[in-house]
Amino acid sequence: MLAAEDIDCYFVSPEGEVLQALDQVSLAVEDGEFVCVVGPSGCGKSTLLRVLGGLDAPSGGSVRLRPGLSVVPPVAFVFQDFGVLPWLTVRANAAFGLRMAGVGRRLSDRVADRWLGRVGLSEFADAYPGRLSGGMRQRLALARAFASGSPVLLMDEPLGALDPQTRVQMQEHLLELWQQEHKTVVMVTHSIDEALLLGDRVLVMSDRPGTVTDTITVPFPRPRTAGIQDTPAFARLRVRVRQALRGSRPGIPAQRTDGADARTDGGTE
Amino acid sequence: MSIRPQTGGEEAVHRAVRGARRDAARAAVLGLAVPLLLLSGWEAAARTGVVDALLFPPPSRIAAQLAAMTADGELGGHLAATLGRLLPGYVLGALAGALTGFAMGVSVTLRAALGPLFAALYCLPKIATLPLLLLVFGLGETPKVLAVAITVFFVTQINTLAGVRRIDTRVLETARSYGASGPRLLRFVLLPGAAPAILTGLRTAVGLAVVVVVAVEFVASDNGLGFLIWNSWTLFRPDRMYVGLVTVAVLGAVLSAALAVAERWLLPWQAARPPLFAPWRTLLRARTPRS
Repeated sequence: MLAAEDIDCYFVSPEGEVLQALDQVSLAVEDGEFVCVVGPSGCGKSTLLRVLGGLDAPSGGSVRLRPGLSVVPPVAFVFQDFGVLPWLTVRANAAFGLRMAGVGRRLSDRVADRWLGRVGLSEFADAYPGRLSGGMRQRLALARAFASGSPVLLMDEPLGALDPQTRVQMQEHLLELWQQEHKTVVMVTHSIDEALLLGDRVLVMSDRPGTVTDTITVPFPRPRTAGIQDTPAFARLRVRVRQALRGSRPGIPAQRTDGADARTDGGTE
Repeated sequence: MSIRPQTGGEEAVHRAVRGARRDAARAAVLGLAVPLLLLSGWEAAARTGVVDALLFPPPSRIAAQLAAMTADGELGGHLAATLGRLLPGYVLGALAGALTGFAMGVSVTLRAALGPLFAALYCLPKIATLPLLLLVFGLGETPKVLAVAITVFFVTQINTLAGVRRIDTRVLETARSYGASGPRLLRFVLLPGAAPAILTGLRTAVGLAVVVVVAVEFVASDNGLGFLIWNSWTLFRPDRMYVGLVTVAVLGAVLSAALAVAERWLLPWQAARPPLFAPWRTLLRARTPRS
């Protein structure tokens, strides 16, 4: 399980201004749980994720994370901009997490090939990522995260840079992968629909300094399909999240749900 | 997801391949035809007296002189002397420059300590240090090799530093999130990330190294291609001078081409990108496939 308690996070901007990104954020994620985090731009969602994964140190509070097995990184990140290494082949990119954990080349490549097959990139294994489209790069980033064997995946708007149609496809793909693998996932997203489709719980964060203002349990049974988005229950839940978001940021209308306004979270800048 | 067209595929593929071959052939023909045209114009002008054949001997006479000097080994001797300064100086400067640039790229302290100093020295014409080098090291080969090495060092250092600093922060972030550090970070991220800029530096440095070695041989040598050119001027032997000039030009071209080949071999992922001003056919073909 992954738990954070009373996380505070301060940044000093290049102008010397002190910004508080997170204010007393606590959360606990069960093993195999899929938690989505929504909130206004710049509310510190990305910072929270980075603190959870150990990329940033919190100014106060503590993060507890079950240590990984010796060769497996404890968490694997998936970033919005894919973080694909242009000078490594698709296969070497997929194997990157394992290689960095010290796993040998042959074993890493074998695991990578299996995951490339599962995300439909087998025929590009020897190509360089320059030849891949945005959706394919995102699938590569997912393959890398899954292939690393890490039990915890931290995703920072992993689908935010994709066009709407590809995004819908990737949501379904991700849903399928997760339902087969049952990783522990914390995913930051701008899209309420995405959060409700994928998540077991949706955390709503307030504007900076970020705090968790609401937690919404998503009752839909697993395995889910994208079809649940058309049900009245889904629509009611969507309204509920939108209201929670509006409440978290007085006077400013809630964000649109289609993710069209997705942009990089300013909280880490 | 296939990148092959669905209908009439064979025909379209053949058309595309033929188009690419035609583009390549046209480039090769143009690249050869223009110099040949210029040379024959020169030949005609010199033979008909339009230009003074004493100053501009016809290319055929230069070619004959080149053949004679090659046959009696004189040209080979000058070329060997120049290469004996150019290559050690280049390798020395490139290694030192790449290492220094790399160290400055990853170390804030080194960057703060050496950055301003190197920035100031970068603008100093390196050939201007030759008198100092002669003063310190005497008239032997050392100051000539060092003059080349210093030139190459600064160009390589500044490009390597920029290359390391310009590695995409998102890539660095990803590497860090997967726990990359130490030798693995170097091998998988920093070296390949900086490699394109390092090679750009090395290519620029080749041209400058040839300039400097020739200049050094003008003033402080009694052999080498630079000496051949300078000495031919003092003896008023333009045909010999042109032999020197042609040899220097060919030398520079060969070294640049060798680096271009090395670049393609070392940076295979760069070949995946379409060139900036490709003919429109190439651009259309190089579009990334949609998933």
